[in-house]
Amino acid sequence: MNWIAVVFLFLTLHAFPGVAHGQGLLLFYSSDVHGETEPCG
Amino acid sequence: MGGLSKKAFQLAAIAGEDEAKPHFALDAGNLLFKQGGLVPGREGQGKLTATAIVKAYNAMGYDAVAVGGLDLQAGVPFLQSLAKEAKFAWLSANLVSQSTKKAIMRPGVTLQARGIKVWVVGLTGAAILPANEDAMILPWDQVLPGLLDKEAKTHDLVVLLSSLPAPDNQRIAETYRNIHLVIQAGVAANVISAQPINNTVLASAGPQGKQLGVLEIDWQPSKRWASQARENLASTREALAQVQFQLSAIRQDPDPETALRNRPEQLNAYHLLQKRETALVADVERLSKEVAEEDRGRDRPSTYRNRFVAMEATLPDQPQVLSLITRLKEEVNAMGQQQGVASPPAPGRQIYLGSAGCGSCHQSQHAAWQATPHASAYQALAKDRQQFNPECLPCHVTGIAMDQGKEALSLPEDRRGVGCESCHGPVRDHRERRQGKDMIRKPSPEMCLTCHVPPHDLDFEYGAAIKKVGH
Repeated sequence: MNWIAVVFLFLTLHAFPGVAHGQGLLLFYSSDVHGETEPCG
Repeated sequence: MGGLSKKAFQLAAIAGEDEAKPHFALDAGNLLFKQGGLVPGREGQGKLTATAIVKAYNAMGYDAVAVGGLDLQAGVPFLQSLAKEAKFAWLSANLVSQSTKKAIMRPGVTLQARGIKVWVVGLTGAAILPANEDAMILPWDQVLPGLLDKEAKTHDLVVLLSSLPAPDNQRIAETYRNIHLVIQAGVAANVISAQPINNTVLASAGPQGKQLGVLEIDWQPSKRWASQARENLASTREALAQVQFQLSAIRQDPDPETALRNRPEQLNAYHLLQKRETALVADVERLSKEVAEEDRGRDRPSTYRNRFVAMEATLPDQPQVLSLITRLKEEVNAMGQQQGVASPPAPGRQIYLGSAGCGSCHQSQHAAWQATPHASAYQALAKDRQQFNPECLPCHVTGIAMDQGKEALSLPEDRRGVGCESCHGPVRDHRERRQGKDMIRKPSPEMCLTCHVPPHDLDFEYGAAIKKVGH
C-alpha cells in the first residue's frame, strides 16, 4: 500500500464522522393542533 | 395560552440561538380540525381556519407533517388542495385510494442536513372520512415493513410521524430497530418525555399544540442511541444479581442436585434459575463489550436531549403568522355575520326573558351584575372583532348550547352578554308565575366550567369566581 492510499484511508475513516455526523441536529416537533389558531378574545 | 404566532416566535428564537446547528420542524398530525368533527353549519369557518394553519406552517418553515386521522374530516380532495399550498411534505404511507390501493399522499420524504440523510415517514390513525370517498386507511403492518426495507438502508436516521394508537406505536418501536424516532399524535393528555424503547425513541408533544417539543440530537454513524446499552447493562446486572442471590441460598449446600433429589419442584426451579443465570451472564458480557466499544470511541453512540417549550401568552408574536391569524379572524367573523343575517332565529315561544326583564324586579342584583365582566362579555368579543365567530360566541351570550353556536349569530340585543339566565337558567315561566322554585339560585361549578376552561381560562377557581360575580 503506498502512502497516498494510507492517507486516503485515514481521511475516510477519521474525517467523515467529524464532518457528516456529531455536529448536532435540532428537531422541533408538535402534534394535535386541532384547528386551534389561538383562543377566543 | 398563546397560539400559532407565539409558537412561530419560539421556534425561530430557539433555532436562532444556535444557527450553526441544522434544524427540522415536524408535526405528527391532527393539525386542521377539532376532535369531534368539522361542525355542521360551520364547515366554512373550519376550512378557512385549516387553510390559514397551512399558511402559518409554511411561514414557520415546517419540513414535514403527517396526515392525522382528524385531518381527513373535510375529505381527501380538500386535503389535496391544501397540500398544493403546503411548502412542507405532507405524509401518509397508509392513506390509500380504495380502488387502486395507491398512496394518496407522499409516504415519506428525505431531509438532508450536513451529510445526515433523514427519512421521515407518516402513518395515519383511525380516520373520519366523508361518505363516498375513494380513500381508506390501510393497517400499518401492510405498508411499513416494505417501505423500511427500501429506505432504511439508504438513510442515516429514520423518523416516523404517527397518529396511530399508542399500543401500535409501542409495538413499532419494539419491533423496528431501524426506526430511530417515533413522534406520536393523539395519544397523550400531557407531554411525555421522550422514552427509549430498544433502539427507538418514542416522543409525544401533548395536545392542541400548546407545547413545542425540542430534541437536540447528536447522531453518529453507529445509528444507535447511547443510553440503551448502558441502561440495559445496568438492568441486566440487577436481574443477574437477583438470580444469583436466589441461587446462593440453594448453593449453600455443596451438592444441590443430590440435596434436592426428593423435591422435584425445587429442583426444577433450581435448573430454571441456572439457565437464567447463564443467559444473563452472556447478556452482561455482550452489553459490557458494547459499552466498552462505545467508551473506546470506535462505535460512538448517538445521544439526545429532550425538552418542551410552553406557548405562554406573554411571549411575543411572530409578525407574519400574527398577520395571517388576524386576517383569518376577520374572515371568520365576516362569514359568521353573513350567516347570521341569512338565518335569523325561527319564531316561536322564547324561554329567555333577557336581563333587563329580570332587573325590573331584582334591581340591586341587576346593578351588581352590570359591573361584572359577564355583562360586557359580548362587547369584549366585538372589540376583538369576533362577535360573529360561532366558535367564540356561545360563551359570550345568554342561553346558547355549546354545540353549533349558529343561533347565537343573530340573537336580540338583550341576550348579547352573559346575562342573568346564563347562570340562573331561563326564567320566562318564573316571571309569569312569580315563583322562585324553577330557577337556579346558585350555579354549580360544572355550569361555570362549560366556559371557564383552558385555554380560555387557565386559572379558574370556583370559590374566588363566585365571590367576584356573586350578588
